[in-house]
Amino acid sequence: MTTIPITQPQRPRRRISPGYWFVAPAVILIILLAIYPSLRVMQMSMFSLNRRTGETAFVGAENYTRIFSDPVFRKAFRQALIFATFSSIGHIVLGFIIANLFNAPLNRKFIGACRALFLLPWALSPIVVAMIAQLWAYPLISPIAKILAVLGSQVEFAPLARPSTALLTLTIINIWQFTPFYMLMILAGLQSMDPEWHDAAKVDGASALQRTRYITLPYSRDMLLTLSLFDLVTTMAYFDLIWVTTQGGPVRSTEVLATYIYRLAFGTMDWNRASAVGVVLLTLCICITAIVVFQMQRE
Amino acid sequence: MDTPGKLQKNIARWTAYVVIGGITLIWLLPILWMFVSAFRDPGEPFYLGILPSHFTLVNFHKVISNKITMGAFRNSIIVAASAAIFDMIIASLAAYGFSRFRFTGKNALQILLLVVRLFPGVLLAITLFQVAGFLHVYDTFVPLILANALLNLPFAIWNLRNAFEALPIELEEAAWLDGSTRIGGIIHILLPLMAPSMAATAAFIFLLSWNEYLFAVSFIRSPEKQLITTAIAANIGQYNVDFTGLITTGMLASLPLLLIFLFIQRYIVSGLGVGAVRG
Repeated sequence: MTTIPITQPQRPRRRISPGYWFVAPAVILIILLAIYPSLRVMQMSMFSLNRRTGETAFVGAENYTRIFSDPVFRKAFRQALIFATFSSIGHIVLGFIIANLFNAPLNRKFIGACRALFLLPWALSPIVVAMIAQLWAYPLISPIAKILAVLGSQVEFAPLARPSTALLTLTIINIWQFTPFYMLMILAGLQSMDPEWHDAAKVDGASALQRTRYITLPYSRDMLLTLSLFDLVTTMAYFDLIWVTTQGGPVRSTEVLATYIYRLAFGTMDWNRASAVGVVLLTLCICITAIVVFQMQRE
Repeated sequence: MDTPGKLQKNIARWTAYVVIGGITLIWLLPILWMFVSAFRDPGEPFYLGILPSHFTLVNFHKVISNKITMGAFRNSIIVAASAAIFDMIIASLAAYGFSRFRFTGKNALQILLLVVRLFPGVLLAITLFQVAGFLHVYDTFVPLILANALLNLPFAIWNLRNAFEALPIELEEAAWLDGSTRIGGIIHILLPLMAPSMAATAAFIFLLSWNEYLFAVSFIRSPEKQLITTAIAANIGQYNVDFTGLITTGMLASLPLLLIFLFIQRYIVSGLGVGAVRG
């Protein structure tokens, strides 16, 4: 084989793309405030503070072996998974159903107004949500307790005060607040669907339910999967509502990884063990994010 | 005359309207309850009725004349506005860079933004707390503003990048031919066209920073530096507080932002994150 002589195209003078200058401030901020803290957490997780001498010593994986044999950590881990899984299922299933309703060919002004109003819980501060939740879970104030009393219920309504119902209650509140966000994301996806598919199926006599099942659902499958993973990562690290309503109680029944880390760090001031739990959370988040990236790039 | 098919279609349409309106109304009940309860007489126990028997403005008077609460509102405005301004400067530059140039590592940077978007806030809180102590900025607004700016940066960049991409490059090229520099072209040609999406982006960062709690509770100790979220949270779960006053504070902390949100919600969808990673 012979090489074909070709004239080298005139290559532009190699210089730094101006693009770098534009993104540089953002990159510096991310390095200082996200990458450096991650590395610092990893480092801290391998040290231990001797409280008597006040000296910090390298202990390798000791913090990790300690947390993995700690029943509170295991409980927090399991409950974070349960909370994130059920919240995500709620967000995506309800979000999908409601997005399909909002995608119906009805009066645009009416749909637009309802859609904007439906999003409002998502724009509330989790603290305001926690405030409403706490009052709604307090038997002397709660409108739900009042309705139950009128219906003749004898049971005291205090869902956040019972270990058996507290996590479920928080899950429902989280579903209430964040379903609007996932609905919005799903709706944006549905609107990119070719309306002719539905029209064609309609001509063939398919019902609305059949069209959703056989056209919309397969079309949105990848999007729903990506969103669910996105949701899992976000909800796994969720903190505000749980901390302000129950602080992980009663009897640790709502303790999740984020509240446990916070308690270890700011409560018992055990920064090294908090960092070890933090690294576990970060690893989980990065693994799921990696799957999200893989999904997105494949699409 | 209606054929049976048409009648059926009309019934289906009306059912859809009722279902959509009904779901929206039910979803908003807790917020409506908060709004109505803000007008409740503090002396009227809640178990007497879900709705107040009469409306009064006494709670608003109490909240507005409370110096600590008003100070918390002011602090929240300072923090949220600073985070929004800081983010807008950094994010508009980055968004322009992403929309107009190709460079090595661009894809990796986009993935990095997604990682930041999904970064657990509690980890940022524990490390920034220590860094803040080291730099002597603990109990100031500085770490709060920075933390909010960081976590909202991916949204800001994505939203503005999509807005930049919607503007054809020819607009700028025409300005360059007239002797304008690149920065001059951005400022005089692009920014006026970007105004709606920039305003919406900034407003949404303001809203998210206003709503934020974790950093506010971690980095601030002095009572006079409390933000509105920490001020409200301090009264949640206490059974001897003035409930209607608390509800009114919550309502005043939400209503202005909810109104702004209704106007901006159309302009923020493209920055929210899914489908944001692309070459």
